[in-house]
Amino acid sequence: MQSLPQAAGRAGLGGLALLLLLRALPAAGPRTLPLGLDAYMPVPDENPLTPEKAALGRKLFFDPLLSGDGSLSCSTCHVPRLGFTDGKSLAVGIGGRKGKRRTPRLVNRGYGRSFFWDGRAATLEEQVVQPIGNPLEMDANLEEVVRRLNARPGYAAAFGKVFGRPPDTDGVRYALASYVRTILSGNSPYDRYIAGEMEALTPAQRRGLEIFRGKANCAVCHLGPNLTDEEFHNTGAGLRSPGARDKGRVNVTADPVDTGAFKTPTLREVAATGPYMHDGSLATLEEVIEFYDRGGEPNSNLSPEIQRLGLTSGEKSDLLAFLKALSGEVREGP
Amino acid sequence: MSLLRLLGGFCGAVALAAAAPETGEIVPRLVWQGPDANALGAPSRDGRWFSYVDTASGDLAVRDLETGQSRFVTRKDPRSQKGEFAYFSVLSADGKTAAFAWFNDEGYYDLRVAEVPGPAESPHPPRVLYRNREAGFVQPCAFSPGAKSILTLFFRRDNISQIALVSTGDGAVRTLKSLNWIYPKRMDFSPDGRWIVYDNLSAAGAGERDIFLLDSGGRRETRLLGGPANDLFPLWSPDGREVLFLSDRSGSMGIWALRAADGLAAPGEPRLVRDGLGRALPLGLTAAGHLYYGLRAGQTDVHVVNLGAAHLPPPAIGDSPGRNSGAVFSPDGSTLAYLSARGPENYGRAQHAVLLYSLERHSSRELPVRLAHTERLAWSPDGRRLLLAGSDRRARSGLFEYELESGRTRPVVLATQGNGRGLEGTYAGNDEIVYVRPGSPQALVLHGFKDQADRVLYEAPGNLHLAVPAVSAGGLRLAFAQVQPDGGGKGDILLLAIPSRKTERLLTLPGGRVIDLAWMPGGQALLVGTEGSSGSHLWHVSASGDTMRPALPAPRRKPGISVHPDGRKVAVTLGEDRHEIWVLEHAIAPASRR
Repeated sequence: MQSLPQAAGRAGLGGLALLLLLRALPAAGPRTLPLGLDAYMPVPDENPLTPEKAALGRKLFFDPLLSGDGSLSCSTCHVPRLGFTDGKSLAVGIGGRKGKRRTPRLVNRGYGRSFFWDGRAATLEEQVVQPIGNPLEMDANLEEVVRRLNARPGYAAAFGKVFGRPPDTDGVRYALASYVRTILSGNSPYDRYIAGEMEALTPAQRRGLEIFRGKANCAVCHLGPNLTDEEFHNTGAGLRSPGARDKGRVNVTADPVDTGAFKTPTLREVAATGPYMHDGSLATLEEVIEFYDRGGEPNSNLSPEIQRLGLTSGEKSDLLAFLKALSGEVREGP
Repeated sequence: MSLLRLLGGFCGAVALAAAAPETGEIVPRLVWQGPDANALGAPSRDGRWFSYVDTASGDLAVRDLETGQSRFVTRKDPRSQKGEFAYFSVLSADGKTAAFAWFNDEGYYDLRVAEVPGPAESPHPPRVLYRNREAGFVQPCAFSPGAKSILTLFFRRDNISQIALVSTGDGAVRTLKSLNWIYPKRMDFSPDGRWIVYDNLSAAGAGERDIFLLDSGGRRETRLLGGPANDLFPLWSPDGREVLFLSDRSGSMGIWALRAADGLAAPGEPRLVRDGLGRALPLGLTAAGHLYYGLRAGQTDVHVVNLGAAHLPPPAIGDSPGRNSGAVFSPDGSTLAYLSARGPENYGRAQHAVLLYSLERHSSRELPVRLAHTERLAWSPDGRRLLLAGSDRRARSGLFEYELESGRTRPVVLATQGNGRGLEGTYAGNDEIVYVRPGSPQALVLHGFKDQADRVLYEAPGNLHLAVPAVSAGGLRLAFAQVQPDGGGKGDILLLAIPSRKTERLLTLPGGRVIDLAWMPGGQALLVGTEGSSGSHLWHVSASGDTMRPALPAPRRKPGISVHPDGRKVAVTLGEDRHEIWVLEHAIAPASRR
């Protein structure tokens, strides 16, 4: 495994700062979970989660060796201190190439049922390698990445220890997916309130929670421990953006009812991880609230859940206060 | 408690033990029928005790299945614990401890444990194990081996159900898995404590259920049984080698068994234990392999009756006789919309389909209403829509509207803290409804469809409850009941002029609980339905309150009355809901017995 100086040398000073920050994050013990998360996390039988595998995946996650020109790592876009997103409207890949959608937050994705904004990947193992090969993202050939890994004695040894064989594409997928499973967010004021600690939320946040569940109807899609139903909805977001052509889920299913539908993202860490919506078209949470208050963006496929809300300014303020209570403790690593 | 109650419950028919005939056929035996027989409890593993809710008091009790005697596990203070009651319960393997859900003084369920008292003992004070408004509905399902934890189903305020283990020591909760708004009908611990078996929808949007195994440490899950059949209510055999479950795979509901080992189904198909059980609810298996189950045995039917008729009932209407209720006339009187029980059973409310019955053609057709539960119906004045009280497939409770022409179902008003039954409400015009806003204080609210605005028409003083709102034709007057919250029903019937919000008392209820209010055409009188210790009654009351006379003899009438626009006929629901407790002795294969 690389030492901090070696890793910093590769990643630059920014990378060193990130690595130092990572080390400062509380490391999760074996199978310890932040408050609010389920004990059961689906893990495929062919890729059991082990600390060693997650550690290898972490190493890969931060290594720009996985990109075509060696300039980007997964962590370039999935920045730990930004809730494992990047704070940009649209993802920016190799050579400054602009992506079509915002970088999703990676927290708690181990509980996900489908991946990417359009759900085109059914498993994390399937998802983690797609950005590597995407010309707008890391623009690398996975076979070439494997050759590079095999050329590094450290990686060859690490893969040998974890998988009993040299680096290969499956090993890369399994290790990265395992690491992503360790990126967890919980123990927020909301989690503590749900667990019975009534004073964990301020009065404004408690009012905001009632609005979230009631008049604002947010909880119809943002529900459960991860505040997402993992389903796809058309809110009309992005329809006003210049050149809006992203049809979302329909590209995967070819079912016209999925036109303009995108996956409900988690709201964990939402206050610190703008901009918002699949295209980053809403800069602040205030804008998001206004968007939903006016009933989203009308279009022929608008989800029936999206209706004008008629929120007062006080209700909007309380709702905003509640959304800020969804930020908690972010852990990563074995 | 009278001697009759101590011995009671067995005053109903108790069949002699049906010895298995030489053919080996497993024969169901009626164990208990009576007013307290309900499917909220469970047998102890040793087969000696059966927990149940005493319907008169709401307390938890246990019945000795050998002697027929009962003992109270809880004993409420009737002065300070009005409105509180026990609900689901399970017993520890030795029958000495009960875990149960308790509807508490704050209006939600908490989880409690109590020792089952001995023959000469008074009930012991229960211990509140877990109390959290955010997890306000609780179903204890099974004690772990050694009784260190209780396998519990929580249903949260955000409509998420969760499989959890609650420590019997300190009440600490370990959430194993969250399941969105669809909850398992049954969960059970394997005898070795390694596995939890439960049922769940086979896929999002599916109608049928499959059987799943979840490692009790939350490390692994497998689908034990899938396929096109509806497989549900799983229970572990005493030796842990089989899972018994209810299934419609033969075309009717029966008990089946599947061998399992190490979290997987053993080779082979499920075997049929007993078919044709009807509306059964598996409750628990004893160590001897006897399966206890509840049976929904009551019947309800819709009848169209001439007011003033001396004799009841005339022939029932609608398909599926014995399962129908809650009929309402269309504004033109040509059609009845009504509810019909469908699908597999639930421990609480039955699932209902919504049908239209043509009085001319004497035929029904089912509407594709996209709700999980529907409890009450109302027609819009223009006859184009139905207002439905219930909950949708995301467990959101409230009022929904169904458009007859398009077949669309949409939410109208949603409760922030629902119980699945929805809200009480009715149309006040084609573009407005009136509904009872729960909470404290309760209020009658006028909700406009066009502006989505809510206007409070009336707020109940103190902690009084509001019920059965009924709007006169033309939408000018609102009749409603305002009652004490203790469930006894004492209170008044009030009339409110909607434009001015002015209210006046129509009458003080003579006794019993108001279950219906319906305006007569012309708005000069109302029908008031009450239910009490002397049975159910229907009264014709003038809008001035000057006259009150019986409108119908109505024995065993259920809530829900609708007046035909001609003012001469009413649609009523007659019958009763009741449960029986049955046992399938030796339900598991002999090789599986200890």
